[in-house]
Amino acid sequence: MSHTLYQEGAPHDANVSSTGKIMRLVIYALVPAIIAHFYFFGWGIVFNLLFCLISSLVTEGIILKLRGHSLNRLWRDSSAALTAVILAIALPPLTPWYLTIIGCVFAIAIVKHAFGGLGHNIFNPAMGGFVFLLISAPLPMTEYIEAVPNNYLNVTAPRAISIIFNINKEQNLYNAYNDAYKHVITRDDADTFMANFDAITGATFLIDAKHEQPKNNVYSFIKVRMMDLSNYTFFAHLVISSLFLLGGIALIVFKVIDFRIPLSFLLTVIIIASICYEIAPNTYLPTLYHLTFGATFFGAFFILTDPVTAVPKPIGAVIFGIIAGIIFMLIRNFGGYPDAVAFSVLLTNACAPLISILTKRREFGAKSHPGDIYER
Amino acid sequence: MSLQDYTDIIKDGLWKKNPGLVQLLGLCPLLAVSNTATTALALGVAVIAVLSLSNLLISLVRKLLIQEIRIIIYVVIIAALVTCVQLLMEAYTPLLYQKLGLYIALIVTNCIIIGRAEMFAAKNSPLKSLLDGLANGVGFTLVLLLLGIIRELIGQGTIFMGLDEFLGPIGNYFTIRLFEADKGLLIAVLPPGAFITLGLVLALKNFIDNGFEQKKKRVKKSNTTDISNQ
Repeated sequence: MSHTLYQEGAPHDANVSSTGKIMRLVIYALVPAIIAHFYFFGWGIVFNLLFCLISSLVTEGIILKLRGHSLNRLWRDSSAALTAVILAIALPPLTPWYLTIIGCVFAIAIVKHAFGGLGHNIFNPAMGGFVFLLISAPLPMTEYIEAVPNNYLNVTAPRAISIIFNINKEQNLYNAYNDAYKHVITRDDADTFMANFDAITGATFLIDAKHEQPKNNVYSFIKVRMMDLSNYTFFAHLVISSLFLLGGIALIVFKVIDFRIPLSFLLTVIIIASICYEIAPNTYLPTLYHLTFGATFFGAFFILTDPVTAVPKPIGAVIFGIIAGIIFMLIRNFGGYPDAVAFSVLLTNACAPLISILTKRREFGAKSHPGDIYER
Repeated sequence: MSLQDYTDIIKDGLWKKNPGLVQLLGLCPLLAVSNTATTALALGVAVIAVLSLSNLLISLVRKLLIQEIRIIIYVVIIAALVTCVQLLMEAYTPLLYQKLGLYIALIVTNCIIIGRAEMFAAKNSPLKSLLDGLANGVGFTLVLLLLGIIRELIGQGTIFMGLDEFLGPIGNYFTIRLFEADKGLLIAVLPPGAFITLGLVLALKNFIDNGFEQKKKRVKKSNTTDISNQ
């Protein structure tokens, strides 16, 4: 951090050390997924990013000034920008502008700075803001765009802006839907598109599957929606998830994040999802869909691994991932919400300090009596 | 028994040792009932009535009490008063009574009331105790009302919706609607909204207190520098 020359203590680990560098690397790793998002879902993500970045950076700047820090921190730790980017990806692409801004202000001002700023926040700011919006405005927060090839030609910039600001919203949504149909008609899946979607926005596959769950009808519902590789929605989500996976692997290779948290999280998810599906295939979704749809990979590699709110220690990291995976699957399969990344991240964050204390390693030379280890 | 004592009691109850913001007593009704301004006001009035009367009665009998079982006697007195208030509310404002539900009865276990009885009424004269009960009750009600107004405004875009159930037809004049209910942030009306709002109000109170303290210091400093200059 400081630029004066000095010799550090013995383990000389050539690692990415500055906070800002780490945060910016995470943002770069998200770029491919953002581009795919733009291709499949149109201009909404661009405006989400714009609004989130502006409101987060302005809020961060004001609070830094109020707390008597220099504005250099905006770039030096870049954490507000990362929060903004994560929130922008998590939000539905055409979220009304005031919700986006409220979410960002809440994330930065309350979730991060009210707890003491970067490094002291208990909860992941982006997920805090997301859950705040999800509970506050359930209706707009569940209207996602359907995946259509070249969707940036249908959900164009002027249309996206007018929908976000609620000017002629219905007309613009209808135009976008018409264009999407024209583009899709050249493909084989035009019939599926018409059969499945009566508007350009709608509930996601996970939400629809959730509605089928009480009727024990999930298996036939999947057959009706033809959710396999021939289906474009499935293909789009598979591509985006794979890009999150690639970005995550790149971060692991560059030693920005620890591989233990995502690995243990994903393994737990796969095991629980497989068991549930084996027992009752009519009630629970297959494992592959749990991984593909929703934000599973996004959460595993980019949200859970937030260095402030996760547990860094080897054993602790594994336990952290497992707990997150268990909560995630409990909410998805037995709870009321279709996707569970945000809630599972927040609940696991709340456990993190305890995990951190309980997995504290014995220092070399310290007494092996448990009381000495767990002290403090 | 100077006037200073009485103003101190009022100041403590309303601001310095406000039961809602400083002592943080009675959080259960404070968080559960403050989702609309009307329910907050109604519960606040009930608390004022019970708190001032219980303080008065306990102070009157304080010399007859047996030390070992004094808490039980407090509870009996408070429960009797709460039952009166509950029956009155059920008779005159039945709709509101249904909305407040359990929380009227829960005033019995409210820490503020036993707290004031034990800390103040058991040691002071009836008049002082009555004043202390009133000041604490009003202080608590103001916090409750502030939370209720903020939460109802953010959550539903209204203030004092349904006040006519409490005050009769006059209440309708106080009802204000600022924007449509579906534009509100639902979280404000839900339990997490109560915690967040209370936290922010606490922060505001501490901010104001800090401001006063710094002002005082500055005044003192300028006074001392004036003296040293002379």
